[in-house]
Amino acid sequence: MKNKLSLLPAFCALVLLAAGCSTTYKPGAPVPKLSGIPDTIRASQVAFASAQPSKEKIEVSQKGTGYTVYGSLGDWTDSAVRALNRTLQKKGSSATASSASPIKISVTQVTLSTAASGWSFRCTVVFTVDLGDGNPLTLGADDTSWKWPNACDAAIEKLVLVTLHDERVLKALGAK
Amino acid sequence: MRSPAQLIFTPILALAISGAVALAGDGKAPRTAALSPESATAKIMAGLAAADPRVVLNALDDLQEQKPTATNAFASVRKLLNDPRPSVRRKSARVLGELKAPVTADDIDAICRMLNSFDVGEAGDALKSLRGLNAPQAIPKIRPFLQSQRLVLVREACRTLATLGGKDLIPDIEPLLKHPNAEVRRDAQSALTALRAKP
Repeated sequence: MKNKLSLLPAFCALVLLAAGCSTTYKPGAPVPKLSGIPDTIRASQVAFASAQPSKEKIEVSQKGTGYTVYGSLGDWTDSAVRALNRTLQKKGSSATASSASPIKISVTQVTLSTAASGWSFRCTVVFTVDLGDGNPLTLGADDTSWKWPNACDAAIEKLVLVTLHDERVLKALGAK
Repeated sequence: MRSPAQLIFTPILALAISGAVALAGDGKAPRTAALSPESATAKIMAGLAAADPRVVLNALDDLQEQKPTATNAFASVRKLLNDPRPSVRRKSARVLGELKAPVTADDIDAICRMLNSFDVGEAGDALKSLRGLNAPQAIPKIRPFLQSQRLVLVREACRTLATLGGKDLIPDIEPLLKHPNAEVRRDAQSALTALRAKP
């Protein structure tokens, strides 16, 4: 029995080695500094909703990153929508996720690559915003950090800033 | 006489330092130096179309080092001015400006849209890019930055207007000689000197 137990650490190490450094990551929903958000969105009655049905796991890390990071576009879109709606609410808007005719967001591409000659990570998010006028906008956001999860979370924060500074989105929010 | 600890740690330290130097130099070394001009251009063109922003940025760096005259390379970079990825958009504007590339009115409009970004870095890159391009039509969009709350944008606007503008801009820049920030005052003075020297 003792011999069998002594093999346990070696077995665990083998499992960890076989699994490598891969992980599946869903970013948080950080709210940017409210001073950086236009005050005009306070009056908005329109919220954001996800338009990304895909839950398929895709690799977001690129060659040279040193990590294998997976994620699903649906999860990333959910985080983006949550961050946008939280920002609206913190800014004083009474819009909720169940509001009528929401603005639809869909994250279409996520890449985690190296930056600064390999010393840090850059997460880039490309997403579409459907304002309901038949002309969806394609926007992008990115940020860097020396820790890849921080780069991913910061990219979502930048996504909020990019979205809420776009004149067409502000117009659709009824804030202009 | 070296201690055993020195004997062990000295080579490890040397290896670590040489590794760090090699890594740091990796981004700076010309990636297409060993290739023929045709293969280098082909590699750059492939890089410009990549999905990975790092690959695109490396290709733009290589392009900047090569200083090409081929118009198809410029055309590919100009397309990137409307790329949704901010880092790619900013770098492509800077490269076009550095290379003083021939651009169209639509390209200038795309760079001017970057001036409206919430990101100070992107607006700053757009101002730097316009400095290298022959874009006097952008002056009305640059002029408001002389009153910006962001000092870096005021300074960049002074430098860009000094390059693109004429003597008619002198009354706009002169009040900056009384700006509380010394660096703004210095850039304003340089801009005024450059504008006064123009015919």
